[in-house]
Amino acid sequence: MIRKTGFTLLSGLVFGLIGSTLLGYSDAILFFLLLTFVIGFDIILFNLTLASSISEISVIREVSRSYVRKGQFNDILIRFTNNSRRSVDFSYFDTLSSVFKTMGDFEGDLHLDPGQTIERKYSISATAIGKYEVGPIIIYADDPLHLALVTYPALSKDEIKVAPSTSDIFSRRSERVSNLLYTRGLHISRKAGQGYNFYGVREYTENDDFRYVAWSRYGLQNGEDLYIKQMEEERQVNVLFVIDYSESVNQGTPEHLLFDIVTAQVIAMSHGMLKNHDSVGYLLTSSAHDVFLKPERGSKAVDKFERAISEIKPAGTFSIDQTLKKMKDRIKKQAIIFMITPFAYPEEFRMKPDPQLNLGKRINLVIMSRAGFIPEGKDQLEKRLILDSIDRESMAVKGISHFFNSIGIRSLVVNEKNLVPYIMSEYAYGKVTQ
Amino acid sequence: MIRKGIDFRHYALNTGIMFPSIFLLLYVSSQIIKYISIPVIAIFFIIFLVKYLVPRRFRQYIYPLSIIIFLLLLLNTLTLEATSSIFPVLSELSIPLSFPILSSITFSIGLLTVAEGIITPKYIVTISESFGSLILFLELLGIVAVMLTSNPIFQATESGVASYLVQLGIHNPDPFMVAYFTTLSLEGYALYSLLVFGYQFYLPLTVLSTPVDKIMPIMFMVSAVSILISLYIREKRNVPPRLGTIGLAAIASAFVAIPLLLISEVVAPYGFQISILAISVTALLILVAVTSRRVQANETINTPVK
Repeated sequence: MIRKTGFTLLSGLVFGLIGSTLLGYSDAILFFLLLTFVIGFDIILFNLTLASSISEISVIREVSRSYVRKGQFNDILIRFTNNSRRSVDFSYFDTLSSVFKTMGDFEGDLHLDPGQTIERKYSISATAIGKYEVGPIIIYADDPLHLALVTYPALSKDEIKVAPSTSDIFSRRSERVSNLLYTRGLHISRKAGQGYNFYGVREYTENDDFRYVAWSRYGLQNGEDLYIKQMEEERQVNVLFVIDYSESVNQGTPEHLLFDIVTAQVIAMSHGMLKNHDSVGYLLTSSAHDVFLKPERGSKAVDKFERAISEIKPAGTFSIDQTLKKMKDRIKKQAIIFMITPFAYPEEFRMKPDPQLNLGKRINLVIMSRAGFIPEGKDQLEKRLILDSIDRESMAVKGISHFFNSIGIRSLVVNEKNLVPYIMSEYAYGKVTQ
Repeated sequence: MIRKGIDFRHYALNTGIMFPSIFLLLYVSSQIIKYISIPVIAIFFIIFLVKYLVPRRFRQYIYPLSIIIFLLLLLNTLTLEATSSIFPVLSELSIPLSFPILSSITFSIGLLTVAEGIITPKYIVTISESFGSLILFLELLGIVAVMLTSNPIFQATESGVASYLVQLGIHNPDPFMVAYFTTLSLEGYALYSLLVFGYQFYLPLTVLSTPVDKIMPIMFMVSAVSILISLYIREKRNVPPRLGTIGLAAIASAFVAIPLLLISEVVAPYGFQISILAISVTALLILVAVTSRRVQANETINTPVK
């Protein structure tokens, strides 16, 4: 394929040849004629030699792991073999998403003699969760005068699934999990009253059931005082995270993406909730995704969630109406629901009757502010425009939050920093009031 | 910010590419300087200076802005020629449409192209500008050759053109003006005869000789070599492309182009020079297109290795 430069040069030469021939200046004619033929033959020779041999280079890519954690380095080996009968000089690059940091020879120039094999190694580490493609490997070569180019997609794509990094989700180390902020104290689900486990004793009042009198404590202080045994019961609740996984959460820079932060924090909170013997479930929803993981206890729930988010990327649009419909048939038991969305898509829900928005479950609408995920403007004008749009969006989502609070759905606009404290305090409140 | 030093190799190559144009500029300007308007050249030179004195982000607007201003002035002048002006201030802004002014504009464009070609950072722009300026100065060389000739055929044509100019109301045309219109009319006639009869007529630089004829081949050689070097070093690569194919292309083109030129010289008296060259270049371009297509077809047949 002739490059634009080649076309420009050939056009210029033909123009020069016509001009000089019309003037009849033989030296200029020879000059233009010679150059035209040198350029022309250079392209023809390239087309007949290197360009036709390049498709005979076989390329094999070996990816060490197809499932990795964010930030973890994944080694990739590329093996080039020249199956043609000519020596070839070419360049190559592996097509990679912008979420990958690279180290090593993911691109370069090579010289291969006939039958020769050369290996190149490089490592990638993802900066965001999701499923990403690696490849195709493009090999390309040009003629010595850089006027013609041949590109050849030598190898198809591989898929790499990226799960949240252990550092993001505060790992499962006990000291982190038992942190007060994330669990609000262990055994929060205990409730004094009737149950099987002994909790303590208190002074008898007239309304107490006489069957629970602690006779062993009778007359302990003044000879006639009565005490009542208090029992406790363990109460488990179902927590469901409904996460907007539409395009609107695919926002930010490759190192700081909204969906990446939200999912990592949800996983960290889930660990805290599971430690409390509660069940945790997930619904990743948008017009393109509908991944429902029903609430269950144990670390399996989080493992399934990690797998799920490593296999998809945010896509489609989000609608609260559709999301509530999806939830209606799936949640039978009493549950605390946290719906996390930036509310980026316009939706006319004010005209809807309240019962349509009311599932009869405890829904906490967590509206994620996208303010912290907007790249900085290049110049003063762009910065002003971005600030203006952030202000407008902030006002709009605050209005939405007010509306939902007015119809009985607890709602708050949160940012990256207060997402966890808000959800955990609502979770603690939900447990004691349920 | 790291400030790059001046790349003398780049300017040397640019100058090498522009060698024929520079030489022709020097020769032609020495011959026609008394017939052209110096203020016009000064205006063009000022525009060129302004371009490099304004901040970098405004540079690209200088030439388009100058062209727009010139066209507006031209429009105003033509309007004034046709009608009487309503606004007196507009009559002050008319430009004289005389021959020295227009020929000076042509010469200044050539001068500007040469200057731009030498200092431009992109080789491909230099090459394009060298071709453009070369044709322009070859045209002027033809005019100078006609102006200085004592060839009876050309002199007869010149006297015919001069009498025609008198009929148009130009009573004392200078030799440069007569030679200018003579060369243009001969070229026009050559093109007409080529298109209508299949051969061309009276090519000025084929018949007439100039003092620069012996030096020009050296200039062209320097330019051709500079063009090839600049194209080769244009893109830096870790594995430098092999020079073998360039050598092969040069030898092959010499084997084809030189006999072709000799054939075209032989058939020139019969008027088939342009036809021969046109056929050969068209054949070359077809060959380039055909081989390029074959490579594309190969790409689709080959399946990726997994």
